[in-house]
Amino acid sequence: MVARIEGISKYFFIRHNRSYFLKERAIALLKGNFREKKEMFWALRNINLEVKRGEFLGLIGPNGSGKSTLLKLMAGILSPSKGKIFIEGRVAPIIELGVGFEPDLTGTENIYLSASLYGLTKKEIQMNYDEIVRFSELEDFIDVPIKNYSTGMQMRLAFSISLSIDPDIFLIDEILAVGDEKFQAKCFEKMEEIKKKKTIVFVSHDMHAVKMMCDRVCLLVKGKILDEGPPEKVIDSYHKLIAVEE
Amino acid sequence: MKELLNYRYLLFNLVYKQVKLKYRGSFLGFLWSLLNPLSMIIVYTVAFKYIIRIKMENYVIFLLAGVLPWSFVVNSLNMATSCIIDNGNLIKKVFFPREIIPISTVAFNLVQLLLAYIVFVPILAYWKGLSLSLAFLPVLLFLHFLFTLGLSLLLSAVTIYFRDIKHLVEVLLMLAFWVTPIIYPLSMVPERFHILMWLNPMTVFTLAYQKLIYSGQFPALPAIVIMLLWVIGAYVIGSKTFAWCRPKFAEEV
Repeated sequence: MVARIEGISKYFFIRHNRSYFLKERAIALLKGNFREKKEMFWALRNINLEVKRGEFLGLIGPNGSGKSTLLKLMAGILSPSKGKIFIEGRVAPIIELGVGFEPDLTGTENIYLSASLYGLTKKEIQMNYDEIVRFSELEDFIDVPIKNYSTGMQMRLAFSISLSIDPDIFLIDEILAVGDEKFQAKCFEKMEEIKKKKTIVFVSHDMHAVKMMCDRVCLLVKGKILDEGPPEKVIDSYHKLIAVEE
Repeated sequence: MKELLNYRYLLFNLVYKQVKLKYRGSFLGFLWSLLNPLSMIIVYTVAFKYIIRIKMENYVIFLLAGVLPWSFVVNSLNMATSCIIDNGNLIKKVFFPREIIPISTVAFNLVQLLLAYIVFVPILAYWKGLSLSLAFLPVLLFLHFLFTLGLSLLLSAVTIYFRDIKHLVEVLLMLAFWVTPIIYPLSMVPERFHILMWLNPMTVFTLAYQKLIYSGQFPALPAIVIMLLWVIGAYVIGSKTFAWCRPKFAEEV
């Protein structure tokens, strides 16, 4: 077991008429409702989950069901309102590709900047540098500012950097493959290879990818785990749920 | 603290990025980092040596001794108030010790100050000659860096909750410039106001810089003790407040 989630709950405050300005506050005060409306929104309620070493766990569910929140809690980006999370080893959240990219810096400079955001040392990045460039197929453009890259090229660079992080647990939000068809095939091939060695928690709406890659799937609905088990079974109960709602 | 050490390369990269981006695309590029302080020195020299003709001996050196570290503080604090918000995307998407952001902001401004000294020290040597007291400058810079970092940690964290602080800080710093003995020596201030001047933490630091650079003397022991107390106070309050606000950053930015 590499990750254990014990009784995790997370709420946010949603401010409906948050008055940032003194003027608005004063008017509200005169009208007598000086307390701003604050609504507690429970993104996750009492979640218990274990992730085993080497497992590829999928998280599925409708929009706003708390999948990404759970990922961010596991990454340490958000802190839980209740409960505890135990994680063994280094975690790399790939919540968005190309976080921290600077358009005015070159491909090389962005590789060093972006990889260091994930805690890699200079030595580690230098060791992986050739592999990142090779995988991204951007050898000819690596000393060009990335503002001159196409979106696809930027994504290829970002994806290649993510692959070099080498954590114990990958937390991936939606992104398994980027670029054109040929590059996507290469991404999936690489993911199959990573799957053999690493623990991965994968959030997705792409049921095809989930069925293909995951060992086990959790269905999250309104912040609760409704079903858990082998991909076919859980995807099936997700589809039934959608059918019932319609 | 151990976490921070693991991420030192990120700190380096964030500072490097800001230095590099500041003049990127300009023909002279990095040279501007040196031309900027040089032009300031030239303007001051023309203004105060040849036009206004202040009676004080070597007034330009006196002025620069105080102005350069003052700019470091002003630029650091003004950038610190918005640094967490400006880096909101990083905070929401990646995990790293959040302290890195205000630290890199202050470190970037320290680099600017050091570059200004690269220009200023040779000019000082030519005009006045270098004295042994300059050996204390790295120690003073280090204390001053820690003091500014403490304030920056405090301001960067609380601005998340009260966005007005950014504008308040701008106004207060403008005011503080005139109640710190930078363009006038402390001796010009009537005795009965001295106690007020000493309540301003920038006074003791500014006097120390003037003593090192203008008078060529080491700062007195009481001055060093007072500076240390300010450093410890600012750093403890700053880092505690920052740690206290930190868990909510990703939700509030």
